[in-house]
Amino acid sequence: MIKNRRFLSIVSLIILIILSLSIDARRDVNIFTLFNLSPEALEILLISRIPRTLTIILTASAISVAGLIMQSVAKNKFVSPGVIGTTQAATLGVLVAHLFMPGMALWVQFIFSFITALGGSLLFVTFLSKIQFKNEIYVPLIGMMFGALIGSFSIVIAQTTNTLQFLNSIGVGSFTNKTIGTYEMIYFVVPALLIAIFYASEFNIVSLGKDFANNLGVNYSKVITLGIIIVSVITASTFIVVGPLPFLGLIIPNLVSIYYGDHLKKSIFDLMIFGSIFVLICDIIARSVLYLVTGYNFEVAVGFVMGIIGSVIFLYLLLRKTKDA
Amino acid sequence: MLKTYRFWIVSVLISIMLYLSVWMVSQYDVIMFSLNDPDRAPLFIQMMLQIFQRRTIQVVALIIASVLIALSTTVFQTLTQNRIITPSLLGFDSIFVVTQTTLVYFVSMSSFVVNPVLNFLLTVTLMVGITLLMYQMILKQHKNNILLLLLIGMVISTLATNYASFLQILMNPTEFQTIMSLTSVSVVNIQTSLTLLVLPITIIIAIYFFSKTYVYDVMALGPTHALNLGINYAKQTHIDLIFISVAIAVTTALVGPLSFLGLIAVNISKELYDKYHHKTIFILSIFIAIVVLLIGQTIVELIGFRTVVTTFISLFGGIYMIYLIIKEHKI
Repeated sequence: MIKNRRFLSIVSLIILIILSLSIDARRDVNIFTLFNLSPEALEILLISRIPRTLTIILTASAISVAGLIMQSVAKNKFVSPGVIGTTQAATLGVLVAHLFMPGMALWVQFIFSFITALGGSLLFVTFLSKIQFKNEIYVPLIGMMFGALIGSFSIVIAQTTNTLQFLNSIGVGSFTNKTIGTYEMIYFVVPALLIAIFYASEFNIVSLGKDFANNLGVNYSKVITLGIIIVSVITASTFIVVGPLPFLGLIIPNLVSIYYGDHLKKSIFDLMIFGSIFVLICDIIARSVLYLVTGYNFEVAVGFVMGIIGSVIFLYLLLRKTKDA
Repeated sequence: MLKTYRFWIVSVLISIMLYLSVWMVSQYDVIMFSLNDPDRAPLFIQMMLQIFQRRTIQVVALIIASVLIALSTTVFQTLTQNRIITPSLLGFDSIFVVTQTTLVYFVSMSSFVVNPVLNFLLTVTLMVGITLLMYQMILKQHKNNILLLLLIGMVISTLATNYASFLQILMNPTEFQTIMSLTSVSVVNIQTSLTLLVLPITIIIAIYFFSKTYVYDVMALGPTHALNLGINYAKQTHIDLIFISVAIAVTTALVGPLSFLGLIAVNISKELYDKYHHKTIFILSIFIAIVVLLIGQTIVELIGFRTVVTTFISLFGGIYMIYLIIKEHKI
């Protein structure tokens, strides 16, 4: 049963990758002409389409894993870096980097947003450990408030320095223009992903609670800190390259745990495949919908499409979850 | 001293005075120059009177917003048995943006878009309708789980924002400009014709909430006790939610989103008045909301409109909320 599902998802991932490599504004460079191996088609493939598809896959896998780690650390199925303010903190970091060192290299922005993302999530997790919750729905509610607080802090800074337009421009996720030279930052997620795969069982145990984890011989606070560092690296680097992708870290781990269970060591690869499929579909829709509706060769930012599809799926998950409980 | 009505009435009067006169500070040179010129002085005094008149209408609108927000937040917190929740979290501001965007996109330049009163009535009806639909669908099925309703409201508002931005991309620039001017309602950009329209609605809502204060005192004990003491809890909750959504829809369409104002006002009044009589909390929180809103707007004008009062309030409100949660150690 699970093997069948895994086979199906891998096949659909491969089909989607091929589709993603062959769709673009240049309609003469498509799946059929690529096999002729004309130098121009190869150049377009190497400079623009392979980096873009690689960015999509790496981003999708990384954000899904980050969402999963965040859910283990917060012991709540309804949180993700986007819900509890890590993404908003990364935005603040990019804004600060833009203000103090305009025109610096991307890695300066990365360091700034990494530091703020780390600070934001550490603050939230210590905050969570300090209070008792009567109802698990309070955790995402508090998180959203925390995120709104950080967001309004960024807005105040942007308003007083006349950079509101810059803030709006980095606020929507998009895979446009991810060519050689702009996408390399995404490779920062690879070591983070490897560490996450290596420590998968530890994250699983940590989600059972502090006493239980210590009983099983897992250093609770060390694993929590490691998890937050991984989440911050992933959030910062995907934010620099792509921008915020709403709901991705929230729904993919939930869907995967419905179909494959909570055994992380087994399901972490399914998680990455599933996340990539979801983002590839959203990106293909974002690339083609304006062409299909109006006939112009423009693309919509993938963040919008993902916001619409993702919130519908999340609503389904929410209503389903409470029906079972 | 902080608990007495007299102190707060005086503060409200002072903040109204401050708001009415704050523009004189930045325009001091112009005013002195014009008043010293005998030719200009009579005309200029007339102009100043006009400014005062316009600002008085703004003050009325801000007081209306404060009253509605303070009352509805207090009742909503009683219904949810929780001090950190506000009905603005249900996502009214994004529903507002979506209604305007859809209107402009599909029926641009009809009287619904151009006439502010018609537009206001339609928007408020739609906002109330959508939230009532949400109540029907969620509260009936999930046994009055208002927390779930809040979470779903937040998700729906993300969905709505994305849908609105998507439509805005498809628009031509003229339509986009219309949207921008329609949705940029804020404290400094109040439609004066709407203020008089909203006044009777506010009075009706306020009278309703004040007439039910004893019921809320009982409902604050929790659903079980309230049922035992003879209150039809489910029915009362539904009626209250309808009034709350009308109140928030009206304020959102009149002065824009002010989500943290209710939180600040109600929580400060509960800190000051450590009993749970809703009548006193209502009155105190209305006064505090007016003072916070007017003083905040005065400060924003004094620092030269560098920021807007909404961001100002949500920044301080957020910090205050987190302080409250840490202090109480539990939710």
